[in-house]
Amino acid sequence: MNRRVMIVDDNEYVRASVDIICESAQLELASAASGPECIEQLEGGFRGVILMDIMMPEMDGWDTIREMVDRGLYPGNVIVMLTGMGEPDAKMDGLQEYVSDYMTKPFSPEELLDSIEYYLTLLNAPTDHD
Amino acid sequence: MKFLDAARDKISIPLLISAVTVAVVMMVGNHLMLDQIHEEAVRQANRQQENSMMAFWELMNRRGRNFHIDNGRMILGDYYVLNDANELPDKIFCITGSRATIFMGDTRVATNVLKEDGTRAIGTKLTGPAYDAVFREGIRYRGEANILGAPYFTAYDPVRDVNGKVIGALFVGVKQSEYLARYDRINVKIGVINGVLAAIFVLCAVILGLNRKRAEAEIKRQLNFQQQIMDTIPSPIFSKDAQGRYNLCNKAFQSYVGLSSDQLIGRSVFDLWQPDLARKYHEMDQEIIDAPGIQIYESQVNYADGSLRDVIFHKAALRDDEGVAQGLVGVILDITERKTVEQESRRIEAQKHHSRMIESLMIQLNHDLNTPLTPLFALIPMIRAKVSEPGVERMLEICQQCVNQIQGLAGKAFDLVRISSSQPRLIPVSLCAAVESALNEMAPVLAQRGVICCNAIRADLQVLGSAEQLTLLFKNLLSNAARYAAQNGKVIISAEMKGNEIEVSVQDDGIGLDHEQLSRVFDEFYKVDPARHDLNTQGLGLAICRRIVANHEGRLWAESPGAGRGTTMFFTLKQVGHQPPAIAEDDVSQETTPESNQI
Repeated sequence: MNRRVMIVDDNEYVRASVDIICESAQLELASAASGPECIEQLEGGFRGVILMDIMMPEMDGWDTIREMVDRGLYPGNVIVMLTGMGEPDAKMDGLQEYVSDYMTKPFSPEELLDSIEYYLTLLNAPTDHD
Repeated sequence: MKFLDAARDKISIPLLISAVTVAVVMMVGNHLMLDQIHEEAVRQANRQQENSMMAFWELMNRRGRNFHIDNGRMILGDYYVLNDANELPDKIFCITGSRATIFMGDTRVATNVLKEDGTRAIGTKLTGPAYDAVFREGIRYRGEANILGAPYFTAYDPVRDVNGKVIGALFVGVKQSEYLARYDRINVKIGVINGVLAAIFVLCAVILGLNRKRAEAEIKRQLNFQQQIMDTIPSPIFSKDAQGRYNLCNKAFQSYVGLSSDQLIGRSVFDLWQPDLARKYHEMDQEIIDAPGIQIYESQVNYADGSLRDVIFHKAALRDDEGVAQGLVGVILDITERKTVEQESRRIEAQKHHSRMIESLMIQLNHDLNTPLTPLFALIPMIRAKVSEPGVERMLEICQQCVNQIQGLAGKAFDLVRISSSQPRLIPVSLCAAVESALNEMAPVLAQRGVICCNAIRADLQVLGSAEQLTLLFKNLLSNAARYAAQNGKVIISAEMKGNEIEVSVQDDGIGLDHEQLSRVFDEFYKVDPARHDLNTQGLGLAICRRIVANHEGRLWAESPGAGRGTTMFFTLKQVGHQPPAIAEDDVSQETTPESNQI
C-alpha cells in the first residue's frame, strides 16, 4: 500500500514540520527543496501525494507541475497545492486539472493529515494508478 | 412717398443721382441737337422762300414786265389781270411747295393762303412788319410773319409800277407748322426715346442698386454668421494684417485679452502686452509669415481674469495668389483642463501602481509570514499533546494564541489591501449563495458559542456584485456576530427591496453598541471595548466590510437599540434589472423554511 508523501517547499522548517507530522502518522516522506529536486525524485520513481508550495524561487509550483506533465511524470501522483491568500494565479491556466486540492498556509496537523489520508486512499483504490 | 422712401432706403443715393444726371445730360444734349436742327430747318425754310420768290417773279415775268392798277384791278403787262389769278399762286405751290399771294396794294387778290374756313383769303389785308417794310419803307421783307393768325416763313417783295411806286406785293411762304411738322415729329420721337432711355437707365440703376444692396445684405449676413460661429467657439480666435495689427477676433479672444473688439482692432501686440512678451509674440508671428505651413506651440498665458492657463497656439499665414503674406490667423486652445486631467490621470496611474506595489508587497509579506507560521501552527498542537505539566501547557497555549493572532492579522490586512487596491467587476450574483458560502466557512466559529444563524434571503435573489467580496463581507459580519452575539444567541440575515436598492441586514442579539461605538465601529483597528483584550481579533473586520460595500457603491451602517440589546448591521447593494421584491424575513419562524440555514 502506497503511503508516500513528498513535500516540495523552499523553507526547510516547513519541510521539517511536515516531516514530523507525517512521521507521527507512519507516512513515508520525501522532501524536495525546489522544483528541480521534485522532478529529480519523480524521475527516480516517486509516486504518491505531492504537497507543492506555489511561491518558490526560480521554478515555482506551477512551473514544476508543467515540467511534470511535460515529462510524463504526473500519472500516479496527486498534487495538493500549499498556498497563501492572493498568491499569483495567472500561471495556473490549463494546470488546474492536475491539482486535486489547495491547502492554505498555515495549516493544522489534523487538516494536513486528513487531506493526505484522503488522497492516499484515492491513489490506492483499485481503479487508480499505482 | 412711402415707395420713394423705401427705394431711398434700399438703393444707393449716389447711384440714383448718377443715373438721373446721365439721363438729364442726355436729354439736354438731345435738346441742343434738336435746336441746331431747328435752326437749320429755319434757314432752309428761308432759303426755300427766296427760291420760291425767284420762281414767282420768273412766273410773273413770263406774263409781262410792268404792273399797273386799272379800274380797281391789278394788271400785268398789257392785259393779264392778276385779281383772282389764283392759278399763279397754285403753280408756285406746285413747283416749290410754298404758298403764294399777289397783293394789290395791301389786299390779297390772288392767293392760296387759306382762311380758317378753308376758303382762299382773297380780300384780306397785309399787316405787321411785312406791311411796314413793303409799303412804308418800300423794301422787301424776309423772315417770320403772322398771317391770319398762323406763323409763316415768308418772303415779301414790293411790286412797283413803271414809276417805281409800290402798288402791291408778292408773297411766298410756308406755314411754320406745316414746314416743321417733320421736325416736330422727330422731336417728339427723340423726346420719347430720351424718356424711355432715361427711364430704362434709372430703372437699371435702381435694379443695380437693389442687387448691390441685396449682395451687401447677403455679405453682411454671412459675415454675421461667421462672427456668430466664431463667437460660439470657446477658443480664442484672431487674425492680423501684414503689419501685425489685429483685424478680427471672437468673443473668447476678447475675454482672454479683457478688451472689446473696438479696443482691439487696429492694435498690435506691442499695444497690448508687456514688451518682452510682445516681442516674443511678434517673433513667432514673423516666423510663420516668413515660412509656409502651420505653426503650433505650447505656452502659458495670463488671462484677463488673472488665471494662468496652459494653451496651444495654432497659427497660419494668409497669403495672396503670389504667395505674399497678407496677415495671419490664429487659434488659442486652452488645454489647462486637459493638462489637469492628464496630471490627474498620471496621479491615478501612480496611485494604482502604488496600490499594485502594496498588494504585491502584502502578498509577499503574507507568504513570508505564513511560511514560518506553518511549522509553528503545525507543531505547537503536537507539542501540547505531548505535554502534561499545566505551566508548560499554559505557555504553549499563549504561543498558540499569538500564532493565531499573527495569522489572523496577516490575513485581514491582506484582505483589506486587496479589496482596496482595485474596483471589482460587478456582475449578477446570488446573494443567498454568498451567505451560504460564508456560513459554511464560519460554521465552526459560530458553533463554538452555540450561535444559531438564519439565512432568510430568497434563493433566487440576485444582486450586482463580486461573489468573492460578498462572501468575504458576510464572513466578516458573521465573525463579528459570532463574537458579540449572546451565548447560544441568534443571528438573522435578511434582505429587503428599498427603491432601486436591496437593503441587507445582519442582526444579532448580543452586547449592542452605544452612540459613540456606532460612529467609530467601522474605523480600522477599532475594537469595541470588551474585545480589546481578545487576541483573536484585529479590529479590521468592519473596515474590510466598509471597503467592500464601497466597492459595490452601497452604504453600510449599524443600528443598535443600546448596550445589551443587540446590533443590526445594514448595507445596500444594487439590484439586477427589475427583480421581484425580496422578502424581509425577520420572523424567527423562518428558521423552519427551506431557505433558512440554521447553525
